[in-house]
Amino acid sequence: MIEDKLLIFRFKQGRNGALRQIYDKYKVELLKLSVVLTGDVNMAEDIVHDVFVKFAQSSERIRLTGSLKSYLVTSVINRIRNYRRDGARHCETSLEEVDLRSSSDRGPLQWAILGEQLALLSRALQGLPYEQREVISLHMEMDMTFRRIATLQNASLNTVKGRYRYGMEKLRSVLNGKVEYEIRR
Amino acid sequence: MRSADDIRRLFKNAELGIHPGADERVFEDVLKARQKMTENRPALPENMWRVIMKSPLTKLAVAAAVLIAGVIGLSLWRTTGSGIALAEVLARVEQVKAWRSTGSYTSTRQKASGKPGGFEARFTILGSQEYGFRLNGGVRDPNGGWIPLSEDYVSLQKKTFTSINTPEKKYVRVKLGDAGAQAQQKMFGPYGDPVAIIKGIMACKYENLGRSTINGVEVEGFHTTDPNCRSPLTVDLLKNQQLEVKLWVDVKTRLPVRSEGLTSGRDEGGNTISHHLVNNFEWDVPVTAADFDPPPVPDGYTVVNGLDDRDEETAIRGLKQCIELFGSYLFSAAQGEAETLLSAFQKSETPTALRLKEEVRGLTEKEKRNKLATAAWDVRRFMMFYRALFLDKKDPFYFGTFVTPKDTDKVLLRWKLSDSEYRVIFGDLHAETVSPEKLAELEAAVLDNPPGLLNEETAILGMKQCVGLVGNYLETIKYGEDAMGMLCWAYLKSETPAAKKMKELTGEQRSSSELDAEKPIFRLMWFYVRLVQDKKDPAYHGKTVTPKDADKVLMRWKVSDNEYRVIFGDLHAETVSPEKLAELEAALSK
Repeated sequence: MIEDKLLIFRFKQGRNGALRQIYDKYKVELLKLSVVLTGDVNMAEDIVHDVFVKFAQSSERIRLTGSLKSYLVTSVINRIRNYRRDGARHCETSLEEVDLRSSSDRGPLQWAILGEQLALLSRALQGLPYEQREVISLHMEMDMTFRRIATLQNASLNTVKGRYRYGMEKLRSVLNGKVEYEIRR
Repeated sequence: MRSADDIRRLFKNAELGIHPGADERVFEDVLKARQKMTENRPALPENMWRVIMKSPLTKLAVAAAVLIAGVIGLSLWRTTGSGIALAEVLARVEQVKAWRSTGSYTSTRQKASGKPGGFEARFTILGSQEYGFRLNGGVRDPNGGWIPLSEDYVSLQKKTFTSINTPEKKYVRVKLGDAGAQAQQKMFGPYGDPVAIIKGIMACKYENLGRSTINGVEVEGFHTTDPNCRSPLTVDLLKNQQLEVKLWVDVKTRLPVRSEGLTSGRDEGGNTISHHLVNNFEWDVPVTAADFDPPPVPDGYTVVNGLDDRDEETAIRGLKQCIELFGSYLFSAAQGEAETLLSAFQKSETPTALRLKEEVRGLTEKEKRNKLATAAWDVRRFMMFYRALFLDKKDPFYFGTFVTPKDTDKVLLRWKLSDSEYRVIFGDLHAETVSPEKLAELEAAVLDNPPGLLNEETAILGMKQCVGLVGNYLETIKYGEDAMGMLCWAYLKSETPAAKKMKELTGEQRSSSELDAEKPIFRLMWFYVRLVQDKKDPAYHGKTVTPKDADKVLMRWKVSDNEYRVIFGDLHAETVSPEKLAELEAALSK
């Protein structure tokens, strides 16, 4: 987007206002993505926090070419993958353990306040293998094409489409009944 | 829950709110990270000469004068007499086989945050025309003591560069090519290479300061305040550059006694002033080759095998590896290294890339990146080579987007060797030295093909597109980030029907429409680049001319000695004489 190019241009010139605009523009989307992928709102907040901190230090490396949104989304995905592979976080979180309280009951330090539907969706997604979750979330939430997701996952287009198909089937069965009520309420 | 649409709706409707207090705290962290990076950059010199060469300065003229007086602390008296020519001093210095000097560099910085910053460094250098250079440097610590920073050795005979970084406990060694050895030699200029200092002043407008005494020695002074001066004692500035360089020469020996450079200016980090002093010259000191050999690796130090980023063979090896790994040359040689490599690697389906993809399957992202960084070692060296050409101001240009390995006669990469020669690496990776005229011909051939014809029509289409998109002409069409930034800014403010229509789109659709809309404007910029390369004396007046100005020159270029082609504000074109053009352009300033 041209608007993003301008923001990067001004960010590279050292203007903090541009950094603030980038932060405000993408924080919610990135937090949502991170929540649905990790199923843990605290971890999601940490990830997006770290991504923005790293981004703030990267003005010399960022170029006007390329998409700012893709850059940030890729940063979130990479960080989540690292979290998943590091230490205790290797373990898949069980549905009972996830911290997805939807109201503002996590105290004054909470950054993201989850709506009920987001909490429900995130819980449902945790029942899927991570790769399938990633494909569905990037396609549904970030409007990313399968081709771009294939590049990001370093997989073939057919593999990605397969992950989407199987993931959707499973998601439907998990959500069946519950969501019909939620979205028509 | 039956369809994908239902699930998509669920994704879109799922809400996430933001707690304002926490939001401010998170952004504070982000901002702090940004400020810390900006502020720490000058305070943590990774390598002293790099800091000095890059350090931005201020124009605090009064403070500068005080600083100089304080630092020098000498009694200077002037006479009117003068009999020394700088050329004579240079000739005398060139006869000296080896010398030693000491010096200091002080950078005082007023940051944008209002906090003071800066650092003070001192150094000793031993130089020999035959053997090389040896530099010891340190910085002042907050308690007033000195912290050793680095020991650097350049051996001209062994063609090696070794840097022992004390704070980081790193021992960096590099095997140099001819160009690399030359570049390293040049880097030592700011530390008191007298030949570099004198040549620097001679290349500027300078004046004789008359005679004085320094420590009882009668000296004659030379100084320059030429803002274009690129003496080794000054630093390239971003804004409001002011500088002064002085050299004091012993009247009897005709050898330098003291040299100093004062530079001031401003960059995004704030105002800075630097003072660079070299004194205590000792001439014809006895040296042997062993004086320029580095010591063995100290205990506890990590050995790093560095890269000579000035060697042409480096570039060719890297370009070859691009083909093996990515199947084509990289789109850009100057982009962020990791991002460029990763993106090219992910798209690649060459046998080497497929093999590597297989090898990295199942590894963490970090491990994958490391593996790729190792596998693409030569490509990374090529990128460093390209960066070095920029740093050396060798006018490099890379055409990776337009050229393939089959293009035996197309310029892939070029850089300047001298005013009359350019070095060119062609698509098939053979290299030649050509004249600027021949280069212009070769580059015209490159630019004529893949991006389409670049001609008057290209220019008019691009300008029409500007008007359609942003309602007016761009202030500049000089290809680069400034012009791109201006285009973005103008588009965002624009309320033309074309802009409004595009802004109503969302997601991928909007991105792809905007990319299509940009293309004619970029082709106009490329056309302008080519006119400059062809020395067609182009000029562009988008800052003052609007689409209504049917009689004002928007853009012009030379067709022959007697003719200029002119595109007017209303986009009609005419061929005019140089005299008529002068008349038309004079009207622009009224």
